[in-house]
Amino acid sequence: MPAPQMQAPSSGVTVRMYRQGHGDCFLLATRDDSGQPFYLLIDCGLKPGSEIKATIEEVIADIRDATGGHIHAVLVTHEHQDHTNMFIAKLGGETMFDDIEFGEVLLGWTANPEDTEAQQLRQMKLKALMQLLAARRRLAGLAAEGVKDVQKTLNLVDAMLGFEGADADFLAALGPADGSLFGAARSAAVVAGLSVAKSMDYVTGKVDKPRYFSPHEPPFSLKGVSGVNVYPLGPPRDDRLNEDVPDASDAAGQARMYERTAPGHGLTFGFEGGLDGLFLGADPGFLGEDAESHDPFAPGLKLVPGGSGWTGEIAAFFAHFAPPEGEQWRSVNVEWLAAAGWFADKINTELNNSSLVVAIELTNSRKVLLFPGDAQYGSWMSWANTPFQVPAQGQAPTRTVTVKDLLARTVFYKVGHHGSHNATLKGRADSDYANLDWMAQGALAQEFVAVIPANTDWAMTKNDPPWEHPLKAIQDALKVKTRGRLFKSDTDFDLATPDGAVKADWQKFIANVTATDLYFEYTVLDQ
Amino acid sequence: MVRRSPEFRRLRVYAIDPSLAARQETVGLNELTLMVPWESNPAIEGVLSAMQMLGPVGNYLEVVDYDPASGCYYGPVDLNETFILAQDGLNPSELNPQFHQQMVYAVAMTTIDQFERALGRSALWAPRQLPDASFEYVPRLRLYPHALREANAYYNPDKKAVLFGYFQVAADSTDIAPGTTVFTCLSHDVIAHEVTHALLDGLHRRFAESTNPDVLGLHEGFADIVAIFQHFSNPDVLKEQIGRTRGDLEQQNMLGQLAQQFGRATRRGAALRDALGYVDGKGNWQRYKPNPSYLRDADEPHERGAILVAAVFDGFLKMYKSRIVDLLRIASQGSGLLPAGELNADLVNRLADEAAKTSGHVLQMCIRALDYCPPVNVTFGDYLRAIITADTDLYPVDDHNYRTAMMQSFSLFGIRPRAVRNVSLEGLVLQAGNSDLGEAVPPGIVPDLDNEIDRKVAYDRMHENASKVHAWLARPESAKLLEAIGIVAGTDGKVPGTVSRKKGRPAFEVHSVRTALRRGNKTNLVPDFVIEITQRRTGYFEPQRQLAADQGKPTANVDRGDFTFRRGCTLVVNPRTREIRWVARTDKNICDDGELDTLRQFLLGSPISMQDAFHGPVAPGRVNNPFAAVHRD
Repeated sequence: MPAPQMQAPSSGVTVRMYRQGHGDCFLLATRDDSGQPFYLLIDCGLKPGSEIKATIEEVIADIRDATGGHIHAVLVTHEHQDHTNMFIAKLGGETMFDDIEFGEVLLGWTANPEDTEAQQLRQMKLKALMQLLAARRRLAGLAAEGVKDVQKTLNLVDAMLGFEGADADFLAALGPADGSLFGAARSAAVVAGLSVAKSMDYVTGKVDKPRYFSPHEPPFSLKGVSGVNVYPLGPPRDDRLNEDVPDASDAAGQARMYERTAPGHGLTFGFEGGLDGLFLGADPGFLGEDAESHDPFAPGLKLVPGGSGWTGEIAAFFAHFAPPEGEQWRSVNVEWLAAAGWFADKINTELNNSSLVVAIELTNSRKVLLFPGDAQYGSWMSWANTPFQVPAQGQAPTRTVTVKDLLARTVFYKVGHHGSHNATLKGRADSDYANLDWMAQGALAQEFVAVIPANTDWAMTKNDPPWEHPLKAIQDALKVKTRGRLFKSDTDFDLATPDGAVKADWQKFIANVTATDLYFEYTVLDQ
Repeated sequence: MVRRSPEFRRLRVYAIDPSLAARQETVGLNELTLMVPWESNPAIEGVLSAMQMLGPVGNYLEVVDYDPASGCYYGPVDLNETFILAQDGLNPSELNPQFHQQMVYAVAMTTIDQFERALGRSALWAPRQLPDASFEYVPRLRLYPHALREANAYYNPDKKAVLFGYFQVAADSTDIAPGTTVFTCLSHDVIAHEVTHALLDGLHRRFAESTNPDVLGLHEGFADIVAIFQHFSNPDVLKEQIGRTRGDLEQQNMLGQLAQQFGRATRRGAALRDALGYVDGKGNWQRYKPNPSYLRDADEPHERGAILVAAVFDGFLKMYKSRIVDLLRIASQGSGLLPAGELNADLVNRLADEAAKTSGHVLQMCIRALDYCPPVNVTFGDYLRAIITADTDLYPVDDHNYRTAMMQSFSLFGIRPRAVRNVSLEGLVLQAGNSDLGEAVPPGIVPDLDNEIDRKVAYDRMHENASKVHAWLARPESAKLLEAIGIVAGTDGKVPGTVSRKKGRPAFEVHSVRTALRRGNKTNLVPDFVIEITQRRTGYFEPQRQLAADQGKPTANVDRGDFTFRRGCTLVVNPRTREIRWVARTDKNICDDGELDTLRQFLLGSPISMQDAFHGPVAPGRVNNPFAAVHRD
């Protein structure tokens, strides 16, 4: 095995943020108790087509070289394409990660197949996804027939299905609605064809058994590394999991946002609003359900042309007012399917709160690096609910660590969800919920660093409607708080001393920075 | 025996929605009988005969019950069927689609009737634009009671149709039995709200173009105002509430909360669009107390609309309180303190009557004001001026100080017109006409006094009159008049090259010439003409391009640019003297670069358009259906 190329710092942690595109990929290096480098990889993905300067091949090759082909721990925050798809990226027919070993895999409780609550969530999500795929099949069928009004909805659905890893092959295999009957096994096989599902299978298949974490469990350590404690803050175990934004009428909640939000939805995948059966009529065969099981009225009241009760009078009435053909301008055949775009968006955004959120503490200086994945409003709101009980270690007695304390010591912040509107909360140092102003208190304010993994140009121009990643108000707040120590993956880092900075302090900071087209690297010293 | 068709058809409906019948404390409030103007099917060869009322399809509405998500039709009800006629329509029932058809028809007709009474003319739907850009008359709004399988209902301006959705209540709901199917077409408020969108679209097509934060807010708020006050103007609905709140309508009362079942089923605690109050941290309902900062902080259409509703409701409470003060004195032997226990039933009846009368008046005031709004880029401030001026026209003497109440409430909620120097009744009335300006309409145009003429005839005459008025105003002699009402005629000053032109002169359009009624000085009703005039200019997001195009050579066929900037005015004209009585105009005229830039900044930086990462900005005039987007969340 070749020697690893990425140096572990003599003190603290080095973070390498890859500049692969609109997505997350972080390689961390620290020293284990025997002085050897220990590597932790957090997420590895990007939205297809959002490449910045580096190619996927270059990034994975760099990960291989940096670690010498052995990553001690791999942490996947949540099951979205832009956090997972590079794990199964291929080159010349070979999966590039095949020759990289994983020591252990770290995941949130929501990914645990043995967790009852997680099982329920997965069931709900599967059900919702199946509804959406049924709608997608119908929409594809209509689009193929040349029905114009469905194309926009179809595009929106496909963009959102992309987060689940639905690529062109998957969509071709899914096909249009053709009246065929699917068994449960065949449907399950369709869903398993999503690349995110494949990525997760691939990652977990690399180890005997992944480790799963719940919030506010005692902090865990990485194998053989006593210099680092990892505190799991999310995903929440309670109803907060369902809140991606505060209610529009919740004034206190809205005040916690950098920008007011539209009415939100939760991690219940659409069933809260009574959307069960929403798209059953789109393709009952695919869903394997009785087409009439969610009808609003008794079966005898349904009239179909030529069926029972279809009198001459009724036939004449509907032939005039709702003819199967002609007078298309007033027909409402496809309007009900437009909800699929909104539903797809809902399924997609709801998954962000299942992010495994970790605060990585350096044991000597107690400085903290915060990696929240794409955690949204409800997750942030849950963090401070319960303090951590840290068991006695050697000489140190049992102690209580509050989340406020952890954030106050945070000197490195991986900005949540590419800087989107609901994944960084606004507040003050004396607020009673976790927010940006809780971070880096006292002297630590002088070394606060934030990193935004985002390709804004791609997000704004290649998406319809555009995604404001990062939200301007959040980026502005970060600029102020970091005083220029802000990295954004689509923007080359300027090493020159920014206006208003003390030159000596800036020199001290950039001594710990490496900036290339492939990555930004920054070392948090444990001192 | 002379057979004469009846004036009204009595039809039973749910008073609010079916949920009241399912809750023990409100079961008595459940049902209502509406008096709907009598009509039968228009005769259509081989489809409908005038003996029937199938559909129902009448002169204004056609109910077509096609359910695409279930892949079926539901047979149309015949309201003229003997057994149905004999019992005031079908029995309210969630299980019977024919009752659903009856209810959407009855409530929608009631809303139309309110508009016709307030405006003194027949309601017309927005015409349909054909592929060749010409317009076609649309006689009937279409109502699809079961078009969507989702918690949504909306007016589709392209189809001239309202689509109602239905959905199943979630398995973990505690407010409504899980598995219940909620039909939006059975909610009085949802129907009134959506039909109001359609009526407003028929009146002011440009009110659907979001050119400032108020435009869509007015559409939403106004639709809620109609829904709420249509409710309140029925004393039967109010009695129970007044009994329970001891006459104090300021306390929590569900009548002010729209769309009960819809709201509870989607588990937002209170109703969907609870315009009047909120539940505080301790779980108590609180009415929104006037506060000018709400408006400043609100940027979403429903939110701004809710503030408009709250302001109007606040004005309503002031009027109601001043009307019942004598009743309370009588009932309390002059002490003003009502005895403990339940209120006397007679007192409840009288209070309910006063509340209903006041609501009816507020509703008429709010609808009438539509004739006094500028045709484009309307703001809440414009609407306030319109309310005050319209009411002045109808009731020259403000006996009950209604106008003062309304002005004060709007002001307390931070709504004030931009161009008004001081907020007083005198300051709020619109710019008055001036006989020096001469006649605004050619001789020979007569107002339609009879609102029962064929609506197609009224539609055709409106357009015919519009072209006559256009020809009249396009005469060089009218240039002075045009400039005085804010329409750029090109006689003084340079006109930017992006302003739309015709024959080398800045073009203007006369959209409609409608008739409205006001109270004359002998307290008789006299007609007015209401005339809308607009101008357009091509806007570019890039200021340099704008500058170049503005300075460039004007051509008739400038490209469409990035957005359209419009200005204009509404005139109220006396048909006898043919002189202008009132002018309601937009701020500044079509040449104003500052206003153009305000619109550009609004479109580019609107937080509404960018508030959600996945919902992007939409330029005015480029949106398929603003209402579907506003309603789905």
